[in-house]
Amino acid sequence: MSGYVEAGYLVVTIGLGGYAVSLLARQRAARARLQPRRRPPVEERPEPEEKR
Amino acid sequence: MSTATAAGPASKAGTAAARQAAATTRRRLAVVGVVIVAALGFLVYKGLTSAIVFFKTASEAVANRAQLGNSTFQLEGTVVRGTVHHLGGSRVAFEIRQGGASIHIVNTGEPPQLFRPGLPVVVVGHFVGSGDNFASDQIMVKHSQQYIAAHPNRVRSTGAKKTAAGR
Amino acid sequence: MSRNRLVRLVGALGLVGVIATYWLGLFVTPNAKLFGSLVRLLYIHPSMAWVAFVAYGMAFCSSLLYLWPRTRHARFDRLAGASAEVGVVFTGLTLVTGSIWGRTTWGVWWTWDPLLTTTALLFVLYLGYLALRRVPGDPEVVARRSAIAALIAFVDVPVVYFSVTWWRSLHQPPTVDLAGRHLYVHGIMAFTLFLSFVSFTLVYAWLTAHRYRLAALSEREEDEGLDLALEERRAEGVLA
Repeated sequence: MSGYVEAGYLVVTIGLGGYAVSLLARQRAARARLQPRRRPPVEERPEPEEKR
Repeated sequence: MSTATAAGPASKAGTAAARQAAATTRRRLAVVGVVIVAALGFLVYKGLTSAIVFFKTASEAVANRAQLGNSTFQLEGTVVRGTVHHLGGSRVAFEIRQGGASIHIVNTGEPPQLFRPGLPVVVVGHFVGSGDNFASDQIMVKHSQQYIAAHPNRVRSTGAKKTAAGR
Repeated sequence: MSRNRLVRLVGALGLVGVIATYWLGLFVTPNAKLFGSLVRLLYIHPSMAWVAFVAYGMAFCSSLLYLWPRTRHARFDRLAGASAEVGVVFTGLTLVTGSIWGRTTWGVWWTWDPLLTTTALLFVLYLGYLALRRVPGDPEVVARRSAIAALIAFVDVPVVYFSVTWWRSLHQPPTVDLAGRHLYVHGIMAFTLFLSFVSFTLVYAWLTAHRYRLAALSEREEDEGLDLALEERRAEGVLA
């Protein structure tokens, strides 16, 4: 094949794949920022030492 | 009381920072806006001047030969069979015909891969002298929207081979 | 939950469809007369343009729904923004894949042909729309202003589609002629072209759903940020 064809398919794959990954990453980041605010105040949190 | 006085300037500093951030956003938006408006203006200008009449056909060019003089424009016509000659120094000479008019082209530079007799082309260049000789430095090949399988039977057999190999 | 599963299903179908399109497009479909293997770009380029049209059509419809008082709801504003952003991605890919194809067949990466010019205009118009959405202000004012902009920008979509018939063009008319109801390819080539349209449309739906979700998350974040600030102010009041 000519190289141009592969380049076209590659551009579409990278473009859409990259955009999809960025959307998922930004969603995760937004969720992570939202979570801590929902947590109860520090006094009510279980002690981290319990995990040991 | 001390906490309240401490919170006062802190919150004031917060709103000042927010105001500054808003100003930065606005400045950035203004830059974006200017760039976009400039781009739009350029595109509309391009659209109105060159894109609406993207090319002159060979018969129009011949009809308006005197007015066109030696100005540069885009010219369309079909490459006539048997007229393509490769000259030295990656130049190619050929004749295009459209609507009964024909023009002799000498193009500097290699023609595109798809270039061949019988296909319409758009060439960019200008008339030379006072005759129907046209010097171009760019050839663009027009093609139809139809795509026809090259060797349907052979492809079918290789396709079958591929599936057999896949198994 | 069920909506979540639907989005996942659409994404999976889109992915499988795109993989099938690539396989058919690169290995199964035949070379074409005149074009040789370059015809394989047919299975990615027109579908990018098609999806961009669908995306802008969706932005247009949801903007109308937002402007219509009876159906006015923030979700239509969010959907319009999400769909337009995905549309811009697909318009960019239309320009890049078209440029690659143009270089190999016409002989140039770019030319100011009416179709190309109006497509570039489309790209810039919707970039402008996305920039306008970010101009700060009262949420309802921003939403209404954006909705009106989406209606105006959409004017260019039919212009792009019909530019090849309205004006002299280097670009050939569409292979899938929607207005004349004619298809200019046959057999496995037509099937692969059709599959590419369906698959990339599903990918569009998945991307838009996720962009919408991200917009909803950011809005909630802003709201909570506001609530937090209000609480702080109230706490200050109590302290004073």
